[in-house]
Amino acid sequence: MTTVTCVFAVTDTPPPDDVLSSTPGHDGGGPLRLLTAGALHLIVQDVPAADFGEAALAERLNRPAELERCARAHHRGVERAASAGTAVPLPMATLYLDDDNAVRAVSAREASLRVLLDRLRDRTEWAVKVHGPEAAHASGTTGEGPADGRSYLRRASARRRTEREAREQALAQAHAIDRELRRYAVAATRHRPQSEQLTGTSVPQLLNAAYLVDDGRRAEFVRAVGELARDAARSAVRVTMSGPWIPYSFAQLDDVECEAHQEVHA
Amino acid sequence: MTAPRAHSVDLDPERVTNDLAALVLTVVELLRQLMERQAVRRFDEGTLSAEQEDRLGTALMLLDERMDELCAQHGLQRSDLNLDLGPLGPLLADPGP
Amino acid sequence: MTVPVVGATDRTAVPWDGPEPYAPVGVPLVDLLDRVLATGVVVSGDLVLAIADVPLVRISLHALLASVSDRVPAPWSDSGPL
Repeated sequence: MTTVTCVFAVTDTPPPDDVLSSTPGHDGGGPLRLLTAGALHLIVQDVPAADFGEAALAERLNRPAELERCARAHHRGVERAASAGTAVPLPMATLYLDDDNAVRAVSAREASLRVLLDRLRDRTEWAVKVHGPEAAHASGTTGEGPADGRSYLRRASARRRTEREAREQALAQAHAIDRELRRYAVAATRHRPQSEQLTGTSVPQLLNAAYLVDDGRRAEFVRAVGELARDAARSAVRVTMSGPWIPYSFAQLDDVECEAHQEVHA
Repeated sequence: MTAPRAHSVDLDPERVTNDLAALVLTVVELLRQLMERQAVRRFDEGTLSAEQEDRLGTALMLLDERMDELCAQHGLQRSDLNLDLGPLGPLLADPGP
Repeated sequence: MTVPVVGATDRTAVPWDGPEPYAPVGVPLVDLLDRVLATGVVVSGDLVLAIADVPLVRISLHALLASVSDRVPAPWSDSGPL
C-alpha cells in the first residue's frame, strides 16, 4: 500500500515516542511519529495515498461523518504534538510524498516557525460566541388587536421597530463583550459567523471570536467570560465559550514571515 | 426549510412533497414580508391616505392569516419557513426597513 | 466550575468539561471546524498529492456545510456583523 506523509504540527518540545504512538491519528494510517528538522520536530503519520489524493479527500470531506472523523483525527494529532510544550498546528491534511520532502519543507521555514512558536508559547486560545436577540414571541401579527387594516399596519410598524431595537441592542452588547474580553488577551480575531445548520439555532450569531490568552491570565479571562455570560443571560443575548484550544487561529505564517526574514538578516 | 433537510437526499415521497411545499411557502413568505416592509415604511412616512392604510393593512392581514392556513395544511409552522443560505445567513431574516 | 490553576500548564483542568451552562462538554465540532478548515501554517512549496490546496476543498465543503471559505466573501467587509 502506498502511503504519504501527513504532517500535523511542528514543535521544539517533542512528546515522548510512546505517547505519540499510542494516539490514533487518521483512520487507516500508521502510528504517529516524530521527524527531526534541525531544532524542530514534526509530528507525522503515514496515511494511505488512496484516501488522501485530491479527489478522494475532497469526496470524503464532503461527507459530514467523514469530515468530522478527519477533523477530530487532525485535532488529536495536533493536541498530542502540543502535549509537551508549544506546537504550531499545520492545516488539516498537509501531505508530502515522503518524510524527506516534509523535513525539507519545514527546514526551509525554520526561522518563521521559531518566531511563531515563541508567539504561541504559554498561551491558549479560547472561542467565545454571542447569539442574539432571542425572539420574545412569534412574528405573526394576527389576533393581537382590532382587525382593521390601519391597526394592523400600526401593530406591524411597532413590531418591526421593537425588533430593530432589539437587534441593535444585542449587537451593542456583543461589541461590548468583545471589547471587554480583548483586555485579557494578547491577540484576538474573529471567524465568520457559523451557519444555522452548524450552530443548530436560528438565533443570529453576532460574534464568533477567538482570544489568545497568556496562561497566567487564564483564570481571570475565564472568570470574565462567566460574568459576561451571567449578565447576558438576563437579557436577550447568549454567550458561550469553548476551550482551551491549541492556538489554531493565531498560527498564521504569512504575518510572521516578514518578521523572521528581518531577524535573519539583522 | 429547517436546516437538516436542506442538503440531504431524501427519497420518501411524502417528505419530498413537504419539502417542496416548505420551499414554495418560504418564497411566498419572503414576498409577503417584503410587501409588508414597504407598506410599513409608507405608513411610517405618513404618505398613505387613511383609505390606503386601511386597504393595504387589510390585504396584508389577510395574507398573514392565509399563510397560517397554508402552513397548517402542510403540517408546517411559520417558523419552519426559512432557507439557510450559509454565509449569506438565512433568507428570511426580516431585518426591517 | 472547574477553576483552572493560574499559571499552570496543566491542560486537564478545562472549563469545557465543567458544569458551566455557557461551556460545552467535550470538543464542539462546530468550533473545531472553524479552526481546522481555515487556519494553520501553510508550509507549502513541495506539497504534493494534493489537498494541500486546502482552499479547494473548503470551497466544495462550503457548498455542503455553508461554512465560509476565504475565497467566498461574506456580505460584510469584515468577518461578521461587527
